Amino acid sequence: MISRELIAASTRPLVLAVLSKGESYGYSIIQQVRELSGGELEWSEGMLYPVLHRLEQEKLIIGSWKESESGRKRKYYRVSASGGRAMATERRQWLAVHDTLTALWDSKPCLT
Amino acid sequence: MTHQNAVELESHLRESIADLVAKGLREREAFMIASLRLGTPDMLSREFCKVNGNYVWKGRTIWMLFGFVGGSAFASTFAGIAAIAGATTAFVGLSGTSTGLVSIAATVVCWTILFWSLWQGGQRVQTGAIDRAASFGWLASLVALSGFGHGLSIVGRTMHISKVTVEEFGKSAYWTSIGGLVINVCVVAACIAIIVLFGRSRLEQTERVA
Repeated sequence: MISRELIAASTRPLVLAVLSKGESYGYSIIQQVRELSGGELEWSEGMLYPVLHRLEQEKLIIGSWKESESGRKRKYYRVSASGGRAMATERRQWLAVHDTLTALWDSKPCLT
Repeated sequence: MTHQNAVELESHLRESIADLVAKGLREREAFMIASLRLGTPDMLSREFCKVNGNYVWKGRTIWMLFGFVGGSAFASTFAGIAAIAGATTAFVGLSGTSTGLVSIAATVVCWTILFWSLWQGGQRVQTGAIDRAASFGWLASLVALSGFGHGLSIVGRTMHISKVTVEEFGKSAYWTSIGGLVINVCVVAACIAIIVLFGRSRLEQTERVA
């Protein structure tokens, strides 16, 4: 199980990454993240929507209402051009953290 | 939370329930799990509040304005009624002290009736007897009341000036003094006490009925 703080910090890049694969809606985003993380990333589902709306306000993603197969209204989101740039920045930062930790954890202790 | 937010969350909840039902859960169980996953209403409103700050404050400001207009409308109406009651007492020929007491009593009765009806209205909203949206009809009646209240207080003041002589009313012109403040506090306390006592006896009655 991943800690609350880490989940909160990683929500934004995860949402951007999922949406960069194609248009999607809230419930489906949660399902995709759950499957990809093998159940490790357990979101409190209601938390996702304020994050989506914040990203929409920042014009990183674009939302539009459509009818689902069952005839219910559903809000779909897709990444905007600036959202793509934001994701590239996020990616660089997360990889930098990842690389640093990997280097530290994988390095052999110096015996001399 | 805006209407669209609610529609989005509802759609999510329904989808989540449909998935759980497809896995063999009963609808009731599915609903419980789906709402647990969605989060508590408290947490949801806190999170949405961060994003919809403007919307939340617009709602709060409207309610503050509503309270202010309502408070001043009722206050002027009740002051008018109290002044008319006091002037009538003086006209009948009772002493200056009783004129003041009658005014205070009229104020207490008016505010008590108001608080009591608000409390009753609140309970009916809670039990779902009134639709919350329908209670916005209050706004129209408030505007009407504030006009009516100002008219009434002008009538009351005119009556007071013409019927109650200054000497007679001198002792009871309490509202500018410290004593007046104490009396006003007592008025509010009396209103609350009456409501609480009456409310409790009503509650006991309903419990007995139950």
